[in-house]
Amino acid sequence: MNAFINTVTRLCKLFAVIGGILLLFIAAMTMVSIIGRFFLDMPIRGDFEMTKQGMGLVVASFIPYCILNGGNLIVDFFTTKTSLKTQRILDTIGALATGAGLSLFAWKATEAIADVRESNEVSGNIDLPVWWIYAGMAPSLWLAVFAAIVLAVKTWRGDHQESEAEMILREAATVKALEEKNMAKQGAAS
Amino acid sequence: MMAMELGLSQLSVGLMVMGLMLALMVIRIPIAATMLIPGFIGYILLSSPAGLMSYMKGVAYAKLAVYDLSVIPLFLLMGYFATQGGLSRDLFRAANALIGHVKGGMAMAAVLACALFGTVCGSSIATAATIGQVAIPEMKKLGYSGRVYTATLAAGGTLGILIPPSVILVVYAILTEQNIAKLFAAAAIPGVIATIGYMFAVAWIARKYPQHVPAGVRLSRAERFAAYKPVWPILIIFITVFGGIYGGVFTPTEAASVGAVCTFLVAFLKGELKWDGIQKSLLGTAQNSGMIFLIFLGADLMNSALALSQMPAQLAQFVASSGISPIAIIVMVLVFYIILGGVMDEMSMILLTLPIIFPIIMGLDLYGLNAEQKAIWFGMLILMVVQIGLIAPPVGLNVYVINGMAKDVPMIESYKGVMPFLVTDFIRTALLVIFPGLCLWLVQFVK
Repeated sequence: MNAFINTVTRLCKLFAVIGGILLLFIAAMTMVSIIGRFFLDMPIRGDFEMTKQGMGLVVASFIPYCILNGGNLIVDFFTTKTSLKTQRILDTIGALATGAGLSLFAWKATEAIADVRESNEVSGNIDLPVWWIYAGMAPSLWLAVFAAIVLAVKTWRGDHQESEAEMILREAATVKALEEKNMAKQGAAS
Repeated sequence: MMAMELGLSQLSVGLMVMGLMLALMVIRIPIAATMLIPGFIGYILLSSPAGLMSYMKGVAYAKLAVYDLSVIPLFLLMGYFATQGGLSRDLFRAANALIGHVKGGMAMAAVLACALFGTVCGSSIATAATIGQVAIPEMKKLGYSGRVYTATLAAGGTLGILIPPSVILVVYAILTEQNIAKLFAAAAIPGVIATIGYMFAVAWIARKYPQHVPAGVRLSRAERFAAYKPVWPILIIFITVFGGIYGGVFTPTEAASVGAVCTFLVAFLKGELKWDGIQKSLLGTAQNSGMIFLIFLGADLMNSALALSQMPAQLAQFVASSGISPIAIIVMVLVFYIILGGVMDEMSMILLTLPIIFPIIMGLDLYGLNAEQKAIWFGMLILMVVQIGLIAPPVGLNVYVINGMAKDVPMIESYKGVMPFLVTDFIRTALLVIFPGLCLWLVQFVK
């Protein structure tokens, strides 16, 4: 199990960094294209398309990392007073529910690869086969499902490492609770 | 249609889907999943299982491989490079050199630095935290009370989403199919009003509670000019990016690309952006855009199901024919958002409610504005409410984050300090409700 967790964790980070580098590359390409268009009247052919298609790959590759780090927002307003154990159980269910929802995306996107390939769909100007993008997105979506499973396991065990933002919020909430207690005490004393 | 066979009306399926979503939300199910699962069920009931399956095949590609969406990760990346590249320190020093000599000047400088940082960063918490890192220690040293410096930065940070680029505004533009450049132009004047308003709030605090605010420090002429010097690359980036968008030279995606690459180069050439910082920027961008797009996917499914139920259209018609004054409805919607913002994250709130609220607003006759003007104006109002939600009790995310950074300031003090800033927020929102021209005037110049 731990080997599985480590592998998924590493892959999530790898996917995110590769996606980020691709994003930076798209940005640089766009800038070169603008300079070409502006000064030489010679933009890069198909720059809009490449950005559009590339975005599918970039964004999909970001999702697993986000899920693994608990970046999937929750509303905790109604459950702050419940026990930590209850919260842990609910958060495990939440992670599994996310994984279940994503598995439908991953499954159907995988199925779609063959369909789109058969239909020979290509993107406008530069004849980029669209099924490449489908094929590139599917692994990210499956990795996102595994990330949700890992998150569920870690949450259940209670060793889910919280993100920086979560930590700040939790600390602030504790401080606030303490203050309220102190204020109530002072109120009672006076 | 399956619902018919089960004897359910479209509207009742719509209500059921909404109810299930809220119930899941209350028990801590992640927001993306609370929209996905009822969305699946609603779609199956209002169409068929086969209908859902064929919809699901293309949806990930259709919703993620979208040209305009690239603006979100690109502007996030730009903000991260600015954060990791130490640009905030230069901005704060320059702002302090400019207005640090008056009483409360350093707090005003922190507000100004937040506004300037807002021109390269589209997120409010990042702006508050980044400027906070440099401004809090200096304000502490000069003798500001914890109440004032935490409040100033928590409020100042909200300028990050008001002053373009703004991630929330891009999300709004995409959801409502509006022109991003026009929305950015619309935010410019409210952004300036907000910055001035916050400076007034500081001046008022300095007069009313002089013990909390120390006197200013005057720098020599040479020191002042030395402080201004490192800021020019940021101003050039801002002018290129937004001049390009407003002048019709770039698309917003192109502008965001130019911004991200230039900010990267500036930070890199300053020698402050190393591989570690680059990696942090990429991962931070991944985390934040992943979060937005995940909710996007969920919201899309939910909206498809709701659209099939025709609930939003019927609700819009009902409200439009209810005889309540349109402005009263706007005010009610804003109050509802402020309350909801106390319970949930602002970004999720927008994604969640907009598909229902937006058709209602568009169905109203508001000062005789046309559809585009109405959409832009309402976008600004939402932005104001989100800003309020970020600093208003009980859960002002910015106040939490800054208070967490300051460590030794009681939360109640920060909330007390935030009040004067909140007052200016409410005044500005009221002005915008009464005078839509404040945001719409600049829009006409966008090519």
